[in-house]
Amino acid sequence: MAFAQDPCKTHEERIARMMTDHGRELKRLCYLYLRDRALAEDAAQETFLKAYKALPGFRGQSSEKTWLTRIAVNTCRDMLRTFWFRRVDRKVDYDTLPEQAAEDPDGDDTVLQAILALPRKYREVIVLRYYQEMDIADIAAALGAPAGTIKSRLSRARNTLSKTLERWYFDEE
Amino acid sequence: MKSNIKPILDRQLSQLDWTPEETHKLLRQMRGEAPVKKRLSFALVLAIALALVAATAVAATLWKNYHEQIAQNEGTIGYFDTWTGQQRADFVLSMQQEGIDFDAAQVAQLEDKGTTDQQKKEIATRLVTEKYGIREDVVTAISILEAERGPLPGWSLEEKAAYTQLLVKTGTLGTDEEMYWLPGPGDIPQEKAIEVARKAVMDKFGATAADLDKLRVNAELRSFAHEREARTWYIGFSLPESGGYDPAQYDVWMDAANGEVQSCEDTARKVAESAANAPPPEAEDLFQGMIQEYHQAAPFTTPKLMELQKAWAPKMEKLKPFKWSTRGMMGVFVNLMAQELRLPAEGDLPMDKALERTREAVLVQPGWTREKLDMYELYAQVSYQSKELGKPVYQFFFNRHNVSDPRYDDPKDSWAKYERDYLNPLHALFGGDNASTPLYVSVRVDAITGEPTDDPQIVLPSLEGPPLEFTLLK
Repeated sequence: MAFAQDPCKTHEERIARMMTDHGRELKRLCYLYLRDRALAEDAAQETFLKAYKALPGFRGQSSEKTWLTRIAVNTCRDMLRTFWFRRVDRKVDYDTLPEQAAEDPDGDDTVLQAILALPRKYREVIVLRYYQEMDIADIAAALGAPAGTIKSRLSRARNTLSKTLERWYFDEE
Repeated sequence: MKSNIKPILDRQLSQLDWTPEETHKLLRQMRGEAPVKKRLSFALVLAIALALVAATAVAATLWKNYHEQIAQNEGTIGYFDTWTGQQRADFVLSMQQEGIDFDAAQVAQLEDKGTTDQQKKEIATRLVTEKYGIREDVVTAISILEAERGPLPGWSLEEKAAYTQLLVKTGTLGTDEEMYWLPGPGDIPQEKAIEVARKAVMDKFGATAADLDKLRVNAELRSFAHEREARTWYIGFSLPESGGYDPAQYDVWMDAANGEVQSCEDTARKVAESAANAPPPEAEDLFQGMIQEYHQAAPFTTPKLMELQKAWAPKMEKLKPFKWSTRGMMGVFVNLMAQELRLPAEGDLPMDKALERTREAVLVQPGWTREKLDMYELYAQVSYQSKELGKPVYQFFFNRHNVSDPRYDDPKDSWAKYERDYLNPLHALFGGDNASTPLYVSVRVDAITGEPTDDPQIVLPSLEGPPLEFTLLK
């Protein structure tokens, strides 16, 4: 969304609107990336703090959602790179999942579990493609990798997921 | 987007919300009214304790010092594109010392004390990116290794295990990454694993030993770092000419401790089936043509569809074998084009009266209001002879606006305009999320009496919804 079209007058109004529009989705994206609720909350907040600082330079070269997603991805990646994070036993269990995931009304959390169990490089492309609904070019830009790499990772990730997610399997592209 | 993953994840993560309090709190921080305080999660506290335990690193002899250097730097400094000019120059010089050939004059510049850090950054970056044919922001240990040795799946068991050792040694192994191992005392040997895999494929898919002999075997002993004791043998049987990340013909996974098969798939068949149902190139032309015609006709009427039936008959015939998605207007369009279209006859209810009856039929559905219905546009109003009912009917489709609608044209970002002006307000009417917002609504009525012949079909984006047009347009 270009700045000139935004009805919000100040940067503060604008970032507040972005939080309302995208906060929930970005927090969930960060959770899918980091697999830790507390870290996801920190990462989502950090994303908006960074976005606020970068806002004067944002001229709508990409959609607002894509721009925020890139910031969120980089924030999560920075967290993943930290010394401490790498040494954590991050095996996902029900205690660390949001309550709703463990108490899904349909009693089926296969999709969430399967995605959380993917290695990071596959999880991130799946999450960006199917949760953030970004196209290959945008994912490539957000992750700083060639589109070909993204496609091959998506293919491998889908291949892995297909074993557990036959009911939900993709029929696209 | 045809996958159903987003709504499922949204439902399962519904406890993770963004509250107005969070907005308020962050705004205070932005104004400098409140300090940014980060919570230390339990996981991080645990990590601090775990870090006191020294990790055992096994020396990897397959890699050179510069491989180790880049992996080490990724852990301590960050990725290559964040390094200083001097750090990049050191890396290039280290590569050169170990036999990587670079332009001597440029290397001399890197060694020259008079060269500025910025110049070193530019020279070193150019040398590395040109050498490997990769962009600056993807210069990583794994991309260099893959550039040198080919894609990781094709590496030997020893190379893969050495790669894991490299990551362990440099402290850069992500805890949820794959680890590759050489078989140890607790693992069944590779030959045994291949034997088990062959038997599994033969039993499950009827492949013969001769069939399998023609395929290339890829064996990996792996685990995720966080489940390092739960090792798995992966045995892939691939066509000899395939490589890299190409899918294997058969994939077999088994418990490395006892050879119990966990999964055995004929992956190539699945991929082939998926490819067979991929839209042919003509489908995209048809889709674009349909959109163009729709914008001119809006809504599609019987005469218009009759005209298109004639003009597009050859291409529709060609696309017949393709199984269209049961959602979205393309599927509806294709099915309408296959009907026995007829112009309204004497004695039929006038089209506008039938439309009125249709709207009434939608508005009596639970939760529907005029405001909601008005957010949808009439996509098609069609008269045809129903083969299923044996009588003439009218059918009406109320569809979401399309992002290609000229009213959402925006040279910078049409999607954002569409989202802001239409999609978000539409979602808001249906509870705020896409999953509960219908894609379209369809009603079929008797062409003479105007009575609905079926319940209105309200099609949600979810995968489990009814395949409307295929059940109605028989």
